[in-house]
Amino acid sequence: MVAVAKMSRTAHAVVPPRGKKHKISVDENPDEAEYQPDGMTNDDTKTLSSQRVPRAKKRKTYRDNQGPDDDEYRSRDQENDSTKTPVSQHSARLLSKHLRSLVVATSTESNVVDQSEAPGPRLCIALDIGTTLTKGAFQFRNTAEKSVYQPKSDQWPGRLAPTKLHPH
Amino acid sequence: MAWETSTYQTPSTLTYHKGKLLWGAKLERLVRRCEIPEAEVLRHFKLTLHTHESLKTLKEKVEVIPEKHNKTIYDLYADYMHELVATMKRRVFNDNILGPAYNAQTIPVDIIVGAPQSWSPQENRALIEAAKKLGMNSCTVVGEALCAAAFHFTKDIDVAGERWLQVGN
Repeated sequence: MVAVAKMSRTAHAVVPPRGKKHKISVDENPDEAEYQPDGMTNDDTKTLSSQRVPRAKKRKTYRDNQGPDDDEYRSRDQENDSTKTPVSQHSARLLSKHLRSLVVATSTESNVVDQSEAPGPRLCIALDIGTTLTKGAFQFRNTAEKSVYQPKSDQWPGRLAPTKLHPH
Repeated sequence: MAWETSTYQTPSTLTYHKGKLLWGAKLERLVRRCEIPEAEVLRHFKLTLHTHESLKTLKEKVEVIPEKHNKTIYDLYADYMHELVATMKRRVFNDNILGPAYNAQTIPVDIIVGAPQSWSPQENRALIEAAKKLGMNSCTVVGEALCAAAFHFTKDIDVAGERWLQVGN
């Protein structure tokens, strides 16, 4: 039987030097130490010679013991979409400054990014030649008039290639 | 004409048939009608620009067809980009989107091509060379990750005053 040691909040794993045996201290609180290897008691501190603590278990315990910052982020994630990552205002400012010379993208995958400040009207065409699909977009700029014409992302022909892939 | 409906993408496929370049949905249609043999259709040709050894077999497959037509992969890219740009310009000017003051012959056109962030300068060079063959006055290769970032950071800030990056974008 494979024994699994679940560490409590105050338990800690001692990472031994290479070649030494793994040693785990188990908490004195019997309620928190739910799983014990065979023959172990909560008061004991024993050397586990043949059992290894699963990596995932250790990581979970480590995360659980993290400070309020993690809790804060977790609650924010629950309030918002959990697939989104917050970016600090400072980072946003820095990146925005870097990207200021780049002109707006029209979609996530098919972007118009223009770095030129040449005067006069210009048509900027962006191409995203993918492995299976090609996408495109355009933007019209007139620096003399300080105007930028860019269709909305769903406005034809703001994007290239309105083509049906598999018409049936 | 390759454009049919209102979806916003076209297959990255092309072939040379009777000296003429066929591509995108039109080519797909001809293949379905068995007017063009599937074996002649170039797919996944983007991967040929990768220098990684693991793509060697695929490269050999893809590179056979342009060689039949005395084309290199750079010629192929140039031809494909030419068709894309020509179609885009045709749409913009034929539909009179920019008004009568501008026409396709006189307005300067800049090309911006997205490329994987992991591409080396050598691989990016292939795209620029292809654009040069077209006689484009300017071609910029931009990393796709940067494009995604630019897109998000130029969008409106949300209510909380924070910006969010969607994982996977």
